[in-house]
Amino acid sequence: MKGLASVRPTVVVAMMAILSVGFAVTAGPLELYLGAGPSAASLAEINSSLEHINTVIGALNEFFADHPNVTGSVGLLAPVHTGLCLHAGESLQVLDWLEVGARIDYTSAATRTAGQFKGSEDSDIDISLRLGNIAVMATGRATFLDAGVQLAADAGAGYVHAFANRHTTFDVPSEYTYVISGIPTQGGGRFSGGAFGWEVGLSLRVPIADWFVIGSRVGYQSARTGTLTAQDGTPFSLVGDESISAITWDRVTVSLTVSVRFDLSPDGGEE
Amino acid sequence: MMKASRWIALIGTAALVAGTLTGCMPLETPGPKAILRASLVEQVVPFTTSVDGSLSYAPGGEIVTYRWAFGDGSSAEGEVVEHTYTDDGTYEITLMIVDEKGLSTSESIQVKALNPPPTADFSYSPKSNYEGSYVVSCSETVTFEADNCTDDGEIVKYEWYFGYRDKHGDPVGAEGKSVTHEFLYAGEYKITLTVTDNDGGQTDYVETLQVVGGPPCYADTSDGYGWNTGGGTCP
Repeated sequence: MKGLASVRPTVVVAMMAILSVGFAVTAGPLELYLGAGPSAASLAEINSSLEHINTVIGALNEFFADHPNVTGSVGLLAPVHTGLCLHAGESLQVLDWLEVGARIDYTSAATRTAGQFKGSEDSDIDISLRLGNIAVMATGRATFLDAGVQLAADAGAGYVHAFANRHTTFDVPSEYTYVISGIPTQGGGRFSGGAFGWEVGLSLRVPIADWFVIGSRVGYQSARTGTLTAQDGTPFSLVGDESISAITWDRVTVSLTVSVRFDLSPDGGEE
Repeated sequence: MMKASRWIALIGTAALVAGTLTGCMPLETPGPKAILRASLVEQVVPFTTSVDGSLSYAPGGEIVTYRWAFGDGSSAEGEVVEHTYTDDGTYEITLMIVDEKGLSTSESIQVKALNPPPTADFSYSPKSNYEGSYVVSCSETVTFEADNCTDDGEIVKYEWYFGYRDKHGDPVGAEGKSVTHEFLYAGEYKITLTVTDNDGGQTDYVETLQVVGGPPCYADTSDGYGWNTGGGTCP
């Protein structure tokens, strides 16, 4: 399965390339575009674990707030909801209102906290988490309004490769008189996995010239990966030994795009 | 004028986008999370530990039930409860919480209730009071009695070490609640009694024995052990 997972993106890209070349010899303008913008993701399972960790950190902070022999506190982890999305793609006009193509996008979000309790010995807490995914999508875009500005709806499907880089140091001060469950998983590593994903979106585009278009797009992408694993097969976990069995990468992205059009039709675009 | 196919594409896509943004986003809140802490997790029995589930939470809701299982057959309900372990062993304390939506989850920690070690003590006789200290004489048969040993269960073994080794280098000792021994040479001997209970717990008790007088006539002194003759003579 692992081998299959690593092959999937390559296969998808290859298929898209073949399709694009196929369309290119028979169809109209090819559009290349780049875009960037904020992305808001649910990542419910991850944020649930972060809330758990924050609860434990909060309990330590509260316990040591007035402790005679221990000083220090640790900040809470911010949830990982927002990040930056970068994308690049191509689309080929096959009908006057329909384009097909491919897009690759990269999204990442991160959170971190670090602090120290000073008591009979120093107890460090340092947690960092970076999540990201690379999606390779075959896309279709239907332009339903073309009146100076173009309004289009698009949809796509493809492979989403997700990864998580985690580093955790979590020393509970010896002065803490309780034994507490749900201590964050110590250590770190890079964990990855992948899943089928799909997306839909709406875009507004303004042709500045025959060959140059700017626009914006709001899109929703959905993918749900299983357990991310390290190279040695260790499952991804944030709290205790409890691995996160699935991660929902659903997200809404608003992006600005810049496109360049090339006319690949046999007549060079002349009527 | 758009073609019918474009209208279909528009309506379908708009419906898909609207449905996705409003309905397919995972707006459902995650279930409750159980976090428990215990004041003691490793102690000699009997001991009482206080367990606290107040750190548990239910996003967007409230926890309505805290149910505890202590692994020894007993259970309790409440956010903070106490439990006393009386038998040694390894137990798992499990907290199960239920939120107002009926969603539940559980979390566990392990507790080690340790076996209390036995107590060890012994007495010996005969003994004489010599200048304020108790002494025994060479060649005298001394009876050792492990008569003041206690345990929450049962003591299954009494092992004695008489404080010296034989000419082969092996420790000289005996087994039994009551044993006898004859010391051939004068000197100080650290007598060690080791008792073992039915759970494998062990305790040592050490007492110094003062032996005075000369060796008996049948003592094997060829190994070069020195002794204090005490002025006695052998026929």
